[in-house]
Amino acid sequence: MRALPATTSYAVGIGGFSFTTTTSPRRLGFRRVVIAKAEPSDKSVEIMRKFSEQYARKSGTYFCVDKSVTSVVIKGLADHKDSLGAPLCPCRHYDDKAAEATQGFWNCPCVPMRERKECHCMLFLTPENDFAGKEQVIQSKLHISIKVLKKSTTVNL
Amino acid sequence: MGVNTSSLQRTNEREVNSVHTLEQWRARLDSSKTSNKLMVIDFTAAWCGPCKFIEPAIQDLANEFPNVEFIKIDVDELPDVAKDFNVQAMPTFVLLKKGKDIDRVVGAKKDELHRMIEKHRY
Repeated sequence: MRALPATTSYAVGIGGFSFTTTTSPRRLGFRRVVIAKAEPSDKSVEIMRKFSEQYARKSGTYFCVDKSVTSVVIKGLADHKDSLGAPLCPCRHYDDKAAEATQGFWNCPCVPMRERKECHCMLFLTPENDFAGKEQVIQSKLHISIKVLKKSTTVNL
Repeated sequence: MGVNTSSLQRTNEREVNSVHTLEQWRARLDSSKTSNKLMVIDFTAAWCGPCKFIEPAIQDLANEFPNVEFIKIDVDELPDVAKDFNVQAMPTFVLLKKGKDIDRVVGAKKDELHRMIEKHRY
């Protein structure tokens, strides 16, 4: 989907859905690729929220004082769970996401987290981290949805 | 009073421009090559928590350093550019001068980025 050299790109986000239209310069009018970025499913968000709470307790880590960080990361994990079948870390860049998800190193909890409690995504923070809050629970699914929707409802034309 | 405070605040802020297409990126890169101005590229992603966390700090830096150009690139929009700069984690801040990658900060480390901009801005 991304192989086309793009000269024009439009991203529209309305009510939790965003659409990206990319037009190839050489085939203007002939070829149009529409990439629809849906919000992750409620089911996956809920699974990742529960997982995050359980893993925070198990690992003795805490969520960020800024809960919007937690919310965004959980939604990113849920998005990867929906699209790749595994909660690949949303804070890293991969040449091949599907291959990475299969390989597993960066599936949450990633190897650096499991071995050294290092979470680059700031989802699981050790108590001494300056940005660690005091909570190991996330208020509700609704909290995640509202927080993220506020941030992601954008229209760029 | 009918005054939109948020728009007033925005008028005092420099815009951190997002680059969405390869064409836009090449134009920015070409202009960097012919200028001595420091460019800071913020490689970000939609679902990256630390990227959102540091956004206000980047805005502060853009206001503090008017002679430094700040641009933002979503790695999922421009994966080839992310690959060219060997971006592995987000946020990654690449400092560019005359089109060359001179330094970088990986992670939401505002103080480290501030120091690096101070070091390279002239």
